[in-house]
Amino acid sequence: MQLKTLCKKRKLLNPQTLRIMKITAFMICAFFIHVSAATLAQTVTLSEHKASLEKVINEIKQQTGYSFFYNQDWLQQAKPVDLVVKDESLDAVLKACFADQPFDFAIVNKTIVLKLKKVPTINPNGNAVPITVTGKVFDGTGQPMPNVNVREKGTQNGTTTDGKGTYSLTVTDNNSIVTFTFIGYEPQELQAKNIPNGSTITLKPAENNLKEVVISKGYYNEKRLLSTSDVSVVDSKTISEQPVSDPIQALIGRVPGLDIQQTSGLPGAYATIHIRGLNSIANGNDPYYIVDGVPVSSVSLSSPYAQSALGYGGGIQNGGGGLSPFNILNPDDIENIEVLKDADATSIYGTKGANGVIIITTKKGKAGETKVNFDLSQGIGQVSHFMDLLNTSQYLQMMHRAYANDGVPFPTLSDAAQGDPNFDINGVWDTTRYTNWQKVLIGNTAHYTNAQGSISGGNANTQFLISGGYSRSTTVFPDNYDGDKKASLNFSLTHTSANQKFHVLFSGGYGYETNDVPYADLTSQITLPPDAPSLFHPDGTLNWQNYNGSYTFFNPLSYVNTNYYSSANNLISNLTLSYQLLPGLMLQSSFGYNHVENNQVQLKPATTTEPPPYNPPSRDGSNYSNGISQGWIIEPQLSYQKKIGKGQLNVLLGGTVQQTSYSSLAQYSNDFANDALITDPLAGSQQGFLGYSNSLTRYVALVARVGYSWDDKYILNLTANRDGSSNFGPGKQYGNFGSVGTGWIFSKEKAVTDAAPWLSLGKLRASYGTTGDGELTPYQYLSTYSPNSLAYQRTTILVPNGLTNPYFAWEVDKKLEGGLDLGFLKDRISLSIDYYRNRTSNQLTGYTLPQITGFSSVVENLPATIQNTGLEVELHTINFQTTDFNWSTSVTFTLPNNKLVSFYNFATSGYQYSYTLGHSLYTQKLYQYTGVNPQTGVYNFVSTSGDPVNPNFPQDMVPSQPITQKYYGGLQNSFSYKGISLDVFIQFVKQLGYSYQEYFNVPGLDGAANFGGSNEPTAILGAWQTSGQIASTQRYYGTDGNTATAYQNFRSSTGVISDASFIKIKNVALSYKLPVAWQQWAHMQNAKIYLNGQNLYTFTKYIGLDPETPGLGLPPLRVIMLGISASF
Amino acid sequence: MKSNHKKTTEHHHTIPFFWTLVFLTLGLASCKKFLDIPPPNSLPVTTSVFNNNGAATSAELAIYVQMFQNSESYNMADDMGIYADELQNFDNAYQSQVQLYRNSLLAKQNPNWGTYGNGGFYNYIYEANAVISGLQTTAGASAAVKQQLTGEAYFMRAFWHFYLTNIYGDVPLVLTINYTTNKSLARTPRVQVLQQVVNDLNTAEGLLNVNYVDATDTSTTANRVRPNKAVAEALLARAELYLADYDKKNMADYKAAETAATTVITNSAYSLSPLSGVFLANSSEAIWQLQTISNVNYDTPEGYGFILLAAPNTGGNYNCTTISTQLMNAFEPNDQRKSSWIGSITEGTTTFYFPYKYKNYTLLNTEYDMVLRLGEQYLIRAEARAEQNNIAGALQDLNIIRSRAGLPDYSGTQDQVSVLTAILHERQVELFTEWGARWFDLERAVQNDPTGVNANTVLGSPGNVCAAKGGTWNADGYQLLLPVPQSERTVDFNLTQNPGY
Repeated sequence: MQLKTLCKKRKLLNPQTLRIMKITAFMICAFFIHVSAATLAQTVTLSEHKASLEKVINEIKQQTGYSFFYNQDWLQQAKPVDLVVKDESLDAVLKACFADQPFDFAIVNKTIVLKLKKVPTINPNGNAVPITVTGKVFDGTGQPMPNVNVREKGTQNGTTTDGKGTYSLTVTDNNSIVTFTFIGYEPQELQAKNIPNGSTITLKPAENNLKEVVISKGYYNEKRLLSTSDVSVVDSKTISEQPVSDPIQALIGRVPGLDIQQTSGLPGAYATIHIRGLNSIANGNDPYYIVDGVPVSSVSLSSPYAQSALGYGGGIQNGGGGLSPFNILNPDDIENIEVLKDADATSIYGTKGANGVIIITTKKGKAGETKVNFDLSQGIGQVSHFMDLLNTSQYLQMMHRAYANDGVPFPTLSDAAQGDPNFDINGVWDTTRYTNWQKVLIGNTAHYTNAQGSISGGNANTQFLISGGYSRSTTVFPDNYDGDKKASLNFSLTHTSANQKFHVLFSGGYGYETNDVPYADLTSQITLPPDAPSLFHPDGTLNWQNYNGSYTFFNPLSYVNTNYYSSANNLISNLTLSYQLLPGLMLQSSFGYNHVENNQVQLKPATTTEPPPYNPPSRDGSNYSNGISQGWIIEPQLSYQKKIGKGQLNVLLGGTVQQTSYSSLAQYSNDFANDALITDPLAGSQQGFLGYSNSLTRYVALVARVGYSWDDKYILNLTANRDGSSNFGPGKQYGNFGSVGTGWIFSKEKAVTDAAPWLSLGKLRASYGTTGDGELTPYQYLSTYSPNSLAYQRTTILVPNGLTNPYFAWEVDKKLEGGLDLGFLKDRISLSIDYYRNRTSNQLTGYTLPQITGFSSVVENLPATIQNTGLEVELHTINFQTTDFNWSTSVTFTLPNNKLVSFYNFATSGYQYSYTLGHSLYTQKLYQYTGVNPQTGVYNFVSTSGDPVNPNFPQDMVPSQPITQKYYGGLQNSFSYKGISLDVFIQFVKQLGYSYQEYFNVPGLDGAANFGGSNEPTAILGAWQTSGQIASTQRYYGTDGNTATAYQNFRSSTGVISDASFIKIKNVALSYKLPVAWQQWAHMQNAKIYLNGQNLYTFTKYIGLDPETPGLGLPPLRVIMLGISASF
Repeated sequence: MKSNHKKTTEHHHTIPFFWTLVFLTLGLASCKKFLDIPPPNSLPVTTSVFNNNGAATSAELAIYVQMFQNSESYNMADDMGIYADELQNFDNAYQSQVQLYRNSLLAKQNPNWGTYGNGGFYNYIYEANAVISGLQTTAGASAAVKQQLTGEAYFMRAFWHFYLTNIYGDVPLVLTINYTTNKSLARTPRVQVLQQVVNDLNTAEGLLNVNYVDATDTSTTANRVRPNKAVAEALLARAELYLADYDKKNMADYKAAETAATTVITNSAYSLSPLSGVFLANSSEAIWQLQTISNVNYDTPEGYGFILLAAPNTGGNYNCTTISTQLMNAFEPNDQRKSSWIGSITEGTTTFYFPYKYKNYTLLNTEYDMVLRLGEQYLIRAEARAEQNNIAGALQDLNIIRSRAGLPDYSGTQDQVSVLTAILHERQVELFTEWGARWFDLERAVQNDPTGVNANTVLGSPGNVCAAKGGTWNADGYQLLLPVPQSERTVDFNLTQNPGY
């Protein structure tokens, strides 16, 4: 191995010389080197006191089967070894064993290669000035770590930390490297000059050490081992391996209980995110988001006045739309995303925690040498699957049959002269044309570019990180849209005072995003008849295929010059100060600020107005809108930690004061002298305002948490929260919430250790608590009017905002959860199983009213309860672990269930035709479809009692199966072989969805070309034709009344519900670490080339573009990125 | 290394940090009234709206803006026009339009007529009631402003109840903004609704200014775009006439209709315009017009919606109708209304005729949207007089309208039935495509003249207009009333369905 690498470097030498050198080298090596081999495991058990290194090496060889590769002479320099370990991983044992030795080691292909450490640099005068470094070592939760090995690298000089985590070590000089090692944690190395006296070192748990992983729950951190919460974490590696622009999309399938519905494959599109199902009938179901301690709104800032393919801007009620508010975050800046699910984790968030909490933490600087990282990638994206649609002859055949079935003569050119509008078949269009509109409209290739860079470093007291990124993704549409471009800058600065008492963390992230997508998603136009005319005239102008002075065809590109631009700025900044008042007593305050600004412009020049003849020239105009959201949050807290005997007490008292304000202004300008001026709002002859709104929400909370654990076995956590929100009327502002979490780590019981030594972790968890949901637009308790810029007698008007109920309060969610965490064989297998039951009552809904009241609803708390139950499983296994080859597997699985448990006076509620008591909120009330009648060829239905019937609303409607996921999850396999690693992630979803019949038009129904007649999937080709025929599609028709009624009923029947299950190769990440020699030559570290693919292939029986986004919208694209990353 | 001296210095260093933190934390905790947020700039609170002359006026004006914005005049003309025998429909893309045209509305599947009157009618009534109660409960607005605005609100409440009851028969009568009682209202019989309309109009008449007011609600303006006393009287004349018809030919109401119409006719502010000038902004014939609002590219929804620049649109809500052959054939020879108020365009070999009362397809600011006009008042009085057997008086009014159209005086037989039939015919050719007047006339005639010209005889056999439109007119004439929207019935269980649906 070594030799090969050596030779590769000298490729310029001639082969003859090369061979001689090889032989010589081999002989020299063979002379000095002692090679041995054996077999067996990768864990080691040692009990050595002042043993010789050689003895230890032999012991390890026997236990593991690994060979050692070293120069026998070196052993003379070896130090005696003191080491007691039991079933520890080889790597950890080697690290401990060689920490004091003058050797470094590397594991290469089942061989442990030793090499001499470089002699520590002596200062130029040769007069080394010894210095003493002192300080403390803490873990991520702020607990001092005793017994940490502190060593001067390459020497025998070392010590360990005491019970308070403090150490003191005198080293050779300023440049000496000091190492801090502790089994289960990532080692740290620092130059002595970078360790100010009394500074703090924080050791991070090694990534595969689940027990020691610290979870941050916003208000506080805790070790996973001692946690009674249900929190899932997705790390930066998983996020960065996925070529997604919106970091939230990287969570799809990774977290049990997290349901992410993408609305579109357009860059920056909004996704609907629910944790553990729908809790609320009408109110928001969005989780609460926190980025670096700062709450971030999940509502798109997109303006309702600027239409684009992304849809209009969202609101809480309609579940969003528009640009995703998270798209502006740079996925590469994210350290991890935590999803908080149960009461123990979320009740501290009071009224905001009912729908779960998602905490996004960005990367922070680490102590060590100053490092520069870069990462460049480029790629392409395409629609991964096109539908099989009719070609022209099939289409015409369908139309002929429809007319024949109806007994209506097929239209001809002379009918067209009399005003027949069926231009696709009456001869006005060239019926020999064929266009696959999918290829034309969404068949292009989108291009992706991504560039990231960062500088980080620091010493033990002060660390910093600065990172920047740029990414760009274009669209698959025919015209050249810029797509989504974003740039971001992120920084963090952490400092600890020399006396360890004062800590400061300052971090900030700034993002800038521009979005240029079409006015409308052209995917909806793939239903154009296959003989539809060309989109352009030969001269490049839009073709309307005029006939008799009027258009015959609504050109899908008619809005091509209607431009939509959005630019957004986002600043998230946080300052956290903390001061240790007394040992264990910490005062901390966090100050967060968030500023989001979004500017949108919709330009509609005169060249792309409506088709002839209805295109008066004054229709050109532009809308300009601007929205600003600002928020600040201050969270002071006092925490106390005390060890009492075998017990550990943690107390936290904290408060939150928070304000969010929002304002938006939209203007229009019409009638421009010419299109060139259209971007200037002052250039139109008519100008005015479209809308203005502002709002303010304030929130205060007091939180208390008491945690007590005994001997790391028995854990009890109590949380209380009292909070108030200005979104509720006087007297309804404050509420109290609380939770109890308990845990029992039974694997620490002696009886269990003795009986099942293979059980490395066994923990039972249970929690119960309450949270609230007050996610609603502000001021709803006030009776208000809205100003409107429309004027009468030159006076602008005021319009009432609706009916007002000042007495509503928040919804209450009671969460119950039980969990079991198991680890086997030193945690090589770890399994978590959770069962939850969430019940949300006091439903805050827009209570449906008849229009005679003036409005269709009023906000009220309804006596209704919705229950979400579910089973969630997470399994990690390390299947294979050798020096060269590693294989690990992770599985997540979610089995959700939703039920409308009770609803007072349901029969008169206004919801009785949408929902059914005792059924899921995902059900629909539908007619019961029984198939196509073989005699008549029309769709048949039965009544609730099973009799064939022409169904009637509402008595013949029955609740459908839940139109949602039955179960879902993901399967991740990670392989690594030497420098090559391969991660494959497969998403699986078992679900029901609406079939294509819901989205496509009636087969055979013609109308004014693409207003009525539209193309169909080839699935309809088996339509009923002759008596006695068993068919799945009813007879084609155009005007026949009975058939039309049957079709209308079919659309409201169980017939349009189909299996939309799928298995998707969601992500494949392949990377190759460049050979060490190359890296050294280029002065690089961690250099790798990678190939990442997203949405690569979907296995499904569903008829449609993608079962993940049913309907005629752009599906998530297949993206393939090739990149290189390195640090130096 | 652990020298005490050094430690003390560091301690001093961090003390300020500590106090900064304490200060910041305590400073925050002291804001007691933190949650009491001010009302938003962008959303005036209701009480403040009616405490202020200008804001209260804006709340009333909103109704007129929304009526214009929602093209209520065009929708009524177009929808009722195709439902009756006035217009031929070419739109086959919108189910609601096709169903209306074929008189085959379904209670449950009706996208456009899925709520009462396209959704907006009861909203206007809510806004009117909100103005009435808002001005009653607050003291800030001046007495003169309160009086005018309350009068307008009573007028608007009457106006929309009038149209609702003509479309749906018995309808919920909504006189407050209290949703807890309104949400379960039952239907009030048509006659009672009309009586309430008459009451409200009488109240309005007593409150409204004699002159047209501007946005100050007190100063006079030449723009006839806000209800005044004469506007209330004009609608009162019509409402009394309808009430008399549906209340078993109550002679007192015919008398009241005649009186109200006479008040308007004798008002020197109004005179008949030449045919070409009737629909111009502030024409001498205009009693009430809606002003063109600021964000549209046309003067009136009718001009924009009816005028054809090419063959009729088959896939849209606008420009999709032509004058029906029944209406084309209804004009007597030399009726100048046929040439002045009907336009045509020839595409290929086909000529399409369209309503051309409004001449402006685009925004020229010369036409306003007519709601009430003097011409109708002559015909109301003619009918009220004929019903009271004042044939001479009736013919006098009828002939005024005929002569403006360039037609000779009525020369037919002078019995009551013939004269009433002549008035119905005159209304057909005078008031076509104006707010659905024709349909309401045909519907009324079923009461007045069961065997003469009425909805059943025109749409059913032997005229069979409905069949020509592709539909079927049921013998029991259940289609006289539109179905009560299913969506309303699902939430208000006290709402019954009209028979036949």
